[in-house]
Amino acid sequence: MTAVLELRSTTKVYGEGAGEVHALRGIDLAVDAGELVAIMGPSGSGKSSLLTIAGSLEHATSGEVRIDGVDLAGLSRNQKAALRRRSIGFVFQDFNLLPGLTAAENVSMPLELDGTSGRKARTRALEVLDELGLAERAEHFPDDLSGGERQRVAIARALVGEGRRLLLADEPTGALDSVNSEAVMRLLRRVCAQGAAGVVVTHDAQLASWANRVVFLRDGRVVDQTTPAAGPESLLSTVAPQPS
Amino acid sequence: MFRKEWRQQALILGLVTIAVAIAVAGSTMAMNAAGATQPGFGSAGATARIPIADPARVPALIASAEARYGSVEVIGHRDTTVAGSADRLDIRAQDPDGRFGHSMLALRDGRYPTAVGEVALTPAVADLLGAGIGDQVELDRKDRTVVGLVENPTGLGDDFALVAPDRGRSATTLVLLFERPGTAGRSARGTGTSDPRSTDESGLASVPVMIRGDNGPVAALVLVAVASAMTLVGLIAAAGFVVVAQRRQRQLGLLAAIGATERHLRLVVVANGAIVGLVAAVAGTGLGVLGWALATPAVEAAADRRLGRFDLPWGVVLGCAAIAVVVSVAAAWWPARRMARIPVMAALAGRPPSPAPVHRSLLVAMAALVAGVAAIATAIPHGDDVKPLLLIAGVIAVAVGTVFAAPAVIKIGAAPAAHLAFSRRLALRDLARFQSRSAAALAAITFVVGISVTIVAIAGVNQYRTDEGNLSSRQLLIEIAGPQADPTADPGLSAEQSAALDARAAAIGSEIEGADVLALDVARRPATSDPADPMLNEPLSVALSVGDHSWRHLGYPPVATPELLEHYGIDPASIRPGTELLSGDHRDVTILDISRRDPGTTKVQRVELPPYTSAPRWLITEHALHEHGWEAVRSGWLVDADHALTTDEIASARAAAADAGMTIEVRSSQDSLAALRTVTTGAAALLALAILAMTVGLIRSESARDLRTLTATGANSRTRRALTASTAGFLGAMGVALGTAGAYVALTAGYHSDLGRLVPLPWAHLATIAIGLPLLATAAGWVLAGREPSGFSRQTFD
Repeated sequence: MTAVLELRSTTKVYGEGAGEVHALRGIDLAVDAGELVAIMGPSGSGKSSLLTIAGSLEHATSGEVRIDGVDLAGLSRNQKAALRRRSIGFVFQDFNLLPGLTAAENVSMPLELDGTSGRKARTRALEVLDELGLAERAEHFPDDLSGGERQRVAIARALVGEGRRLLLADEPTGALDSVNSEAVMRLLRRVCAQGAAGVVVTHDAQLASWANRVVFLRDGRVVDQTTPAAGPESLLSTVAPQPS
Repeated sequence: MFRKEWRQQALILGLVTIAVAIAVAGSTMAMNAAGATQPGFGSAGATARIPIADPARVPALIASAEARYGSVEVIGHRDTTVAGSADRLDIRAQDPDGRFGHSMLALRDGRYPTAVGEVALTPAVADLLGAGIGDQVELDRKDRTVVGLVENPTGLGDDFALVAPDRGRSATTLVLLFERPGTAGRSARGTGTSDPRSTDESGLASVPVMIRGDNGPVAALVLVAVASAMTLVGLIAAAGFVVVAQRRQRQLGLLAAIGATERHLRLVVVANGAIVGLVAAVAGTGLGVLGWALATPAVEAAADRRLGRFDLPWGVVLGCAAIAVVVSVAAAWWPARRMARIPVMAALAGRPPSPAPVHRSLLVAMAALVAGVAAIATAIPHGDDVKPLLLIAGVIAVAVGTVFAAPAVIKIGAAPAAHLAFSRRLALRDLARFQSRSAAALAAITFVVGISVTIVAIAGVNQYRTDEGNLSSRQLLIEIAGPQADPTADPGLSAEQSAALDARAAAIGSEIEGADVLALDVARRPATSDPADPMLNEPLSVALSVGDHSWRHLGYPPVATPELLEHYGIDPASIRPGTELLSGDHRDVTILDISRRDPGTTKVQRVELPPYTSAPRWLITEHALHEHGWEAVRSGWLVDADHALTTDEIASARAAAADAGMTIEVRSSQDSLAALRTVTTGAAALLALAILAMTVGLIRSESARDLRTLTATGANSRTRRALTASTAGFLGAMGVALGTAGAYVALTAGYHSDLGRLVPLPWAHLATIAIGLPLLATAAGWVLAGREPSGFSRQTFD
């Protein structure tokens, strides 16, 4: 089985000379379809760099990054942009919704950027919002939504479209209370269970327990990988999600 | 912290500096141009020109003038011929230190003449005579030593030979300079002529007194221009300081974290504004003065007068500099206040504050606009009786109305965003979100476009139509000696000389295919009828009543010869018996003749005559000549062709006329007005683009986070380019629409009494602004945007 995301001996160096910073040092990581991987580590360990390189937003200094077997190094900027529109979904800690667009427009954005007509994109966005229990909030602007609602809209944006293969989330619960945090993790878990590969960066060990695997980073290196012990959260993860 | 964000600081500094420089140089140029409109007065408030028939009467005339007008400066003119040349020369006796006329005399080399037998020459006269300092020249049958080179700084084309002042003893014409008299009838604005019928014992009261016009309207326009420039400075600087303050947000957060109060934080940004304002004021003033100094030679050539390189309106200059400092501080205060109120953690995280909605009443905007238009309409900016303060108030009110209306316009303009494609939708929504930025920019662009459209339109109003101007493009006016504006001197032509000049004029006309050559004669009293009357050599002029017992001189009408009547298609049989003047003028004009008890009794018959200012607009009938015993004196020839004169024909005629000691006048091409329109259009486009660049950069920097989100969601460079291009294009288009509409509303108010002056519209320039500016803005936005945002891992995901 081919991994959806595969990093081989990936390094990332920022700056030059005395200012050189090694963010990633020879990372090897593979995430399969249906798998949710949590990345943990202290500040400066390279978590965010790993996520941006995996999401094709930055290029690795050396090594290989493959998504569905395709080496990102061989793609042009436009091809990478198309990959992000069609296959990769990002979820950010601060939601990063465009405040000038309604919830439905935020969700339909990747489709519209990919050339889908506004009407079709909107229909699909409303379907996804409906699945996440936000149909009634579709015409609201982000400033009118609660934190939990905003993050669900962000997740809806990451999910919209037919071919989503990789879900990348950076501290997706960092701005949420515990109830909403668990709801979001439950949602991510469900999405991955439907066939996508997921990578979640988090500081919270309890939330990391929702993942199938936890990878620990320190100073740009993978220092440990483990499968979390089955706990109440893991038991809950098998239950159908009930968004708050 | 000033040394941080140096690029942004330099941008603001540059913009404010340029604005101050333009204000300084522009106001200096305008004030100097205002002074150039009334040469011949020096510092006097009034002047009188008296032809002298009897030199023995000069002392009595001067004594009478001093008794009547107080301190009087006397300049004597003696018209003479130059040996071996057809040119005539003015020998001028003037005191270089005269109370009123000293500004009309400047020494270029050597010294002023102080004794009989000494003379100083203007450069052109020195060339004509082939003489330099120390040479002997024969002038008016007297040998004189050239002791210096002089000029009239207020009229560089004024050529003369200066001799020592002699209180008019050798003059053929006296010019008296004195303070503006405070008598009745001189209250009318502009240059007027005193009542020729209010006689006194010496006869001086019958001499026309030219009153210096009021420069109020020009000064008012200068103030309006300066106020406009400073308003722009404020809007641009405010936008710039927002960028600086935002880029400094983390530093301000750090200061707050270690205990700085809101006042401390405000002070950081306000001090920045003060420093920028001070530096810009000094640099801008320096640049403006330098620009003026560099441009002075070119302006002097165009204005035909010497302009002091440091002869600046220092009050206005210092005012511009002071306003720049005040405006910069005020512009920095607003972002300073806002940034100081951001929560410490938000500032430290670099999260920009949410854009605040702008609460400006549309009602206030409409009220200001209506009041402004009403004020401009009342001020009548195109008439003689301009009310400067009202005009300034009107322009300011329109500007305030525009600023207040801008947020609503942005909101209305962004309303259809939901129906647009993604990038355009997001661009419009962002403009509506960042209303304080976009509205300020829209107001500034509107202002720039409005000013430029107004200038272009007014230049169009002043541009001759086909049936206006000094002459038709088919016509050419040949004059015997100098311009027709001063045909008072007796040409003194013998019958043979006159016949020879007729032949030369006919020869000039024959070089132009299909041209009629029409002799023009002016009428005057016989020179021998009363030698004691100083007005005798004056041709009969046409004047317009400008108040009780006051007239404005309009021109010298030619005699209605049968040839002229036939040329203009006037049937002699249609002239009513007793008619003295045929007038193509709709105004109530009269022949100004001091020998008649009541000048207003001229019998005038209206006829169709083309309204060209240098061609005949009035004709004195032969009946009037016979009735009053006037005689006809040849003054020139009108050459009227059946086609527009070519450049070659004009050049050939000019050369032939010069050879015969004559001059020609052709239709003014008004190149300066065309250049003004083009320069204004270009300058407006550049300034508007600069404002757009700053605003779009500001909005996009505030929404940089959105751009990263877009990129993470899969937006490519095309989307990013479209977003920036749409933002710039929309602002440009709205600014053009509002500015053009606003300008024409104000122009309609100003020209409400003669709206026909505004047509035809200057379509080419309007189209350049209306289509060119938004297109350029869109293209620039497209080309300059698109770069993929960097630093994802360090900023977005931290």
